[in-house]
Amino acid sequence: MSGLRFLAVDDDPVFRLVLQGYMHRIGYDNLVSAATGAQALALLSRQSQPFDCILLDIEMPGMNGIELCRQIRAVPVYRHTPIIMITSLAAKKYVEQAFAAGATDYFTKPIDEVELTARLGMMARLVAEQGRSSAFKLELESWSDLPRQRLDFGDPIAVGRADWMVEYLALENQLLTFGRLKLHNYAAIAIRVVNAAEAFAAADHLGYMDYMANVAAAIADALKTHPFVLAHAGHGEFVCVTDRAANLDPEELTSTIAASLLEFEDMFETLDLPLPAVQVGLPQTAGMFTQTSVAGLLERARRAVSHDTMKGQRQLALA
Amino acid sequence: MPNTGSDHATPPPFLAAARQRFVSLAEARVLAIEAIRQDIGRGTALADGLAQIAAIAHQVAGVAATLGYAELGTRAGRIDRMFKAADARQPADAVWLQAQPELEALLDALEAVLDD
Repeated sequence: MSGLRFLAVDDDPVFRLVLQGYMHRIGYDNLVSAATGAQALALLSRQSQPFDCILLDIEMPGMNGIELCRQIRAVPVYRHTPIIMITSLAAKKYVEQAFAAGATDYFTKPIDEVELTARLGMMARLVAEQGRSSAFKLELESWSDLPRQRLDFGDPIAVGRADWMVEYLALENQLLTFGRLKLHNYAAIAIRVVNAAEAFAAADHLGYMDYMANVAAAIADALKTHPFVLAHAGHGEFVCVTDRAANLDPEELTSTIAASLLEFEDMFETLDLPLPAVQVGLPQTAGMFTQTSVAGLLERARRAVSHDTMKGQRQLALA
Repeated sequence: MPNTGSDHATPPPFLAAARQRFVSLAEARVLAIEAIRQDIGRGTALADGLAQIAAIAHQVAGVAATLGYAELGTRAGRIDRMFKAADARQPADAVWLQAQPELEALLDALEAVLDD
């Protein structure tokens, strides 16, 4: 049985019973239910130990799930807690607003046990990853000795805390709600820290997260004139999704980020870490008339930057 | 008359309480829809009436199939979608008129639940 603590909010008492039954069967026993947004907010304010994951029905009388999601996100302790929206097919059009309000994922009614198991499993992994991230942060804040938590180079662990930074999984989920036409309006760009593996080997895990958070801040600074979201994908890579019309030039973006990072050269030297060398890949877009999967689009963006990096290294070797 | 009864005689044990609760709410839901229908007939705000029926249909559609009432769930989902599209695609009065046979079928299906 999982020890995760869930809060579910739905105005239908029958659905609450059904959800509780399925969750018990799947292995999640620690579920508290609320019938309204007001009840949910009161419950959240009374808890001494925060909930690990929150499930919200989108359509509720009074405060709907989207507004409730927004209010929950405004509570600092719940800023990054996974929030799964529950929606009917008729209300699927509101899912995008829910993501804009801070939702992490969604599933549709009626409950499909396989889908519920998969969604909750993903959230459990996300909670575990966030737990490790918080543990690193705590260690950093307490200036303890070597970190006890284990971090793999490939972990898409969240680095930095900012409105524009999202979990990689949340980025993927949000794009999955876009129809083909809408997805066509966005571009995915991967940004690779070429020497990230070197930094990962040289720093302790906390130091590496801080290192990557500095790179993320430099990327955000370079993108500030365009709307964007950024996710750390692991392996020293970030993926940014921005307006296709922004028509960003990878070389120009690479130079801007590099210039921003150069200002901190002394700091990296003091920490005995390499100055981050970034490489921006060509923006990748979804075709209007071809089927493009979200995972495929993000993967293509990451492959593009890897390819560019290899090409750059070959050119360097030839020179 | 379509088969509006349950699809499975016995739901999984953990759903028995939910099913019992669903059946106990069916009558109130039928009466609520009928009352809204009468109000609309008397000229009260159509858009509000559609939203109220859609809210009931939304709740029914969210669990009916899980509890063994697949056809009821489908009908409720259809009403939910039709009434929610009223603003965006076509005027409320046209939707209301067009939905009458479907709404009647939904009420029949909900009433059939009471026989369980």
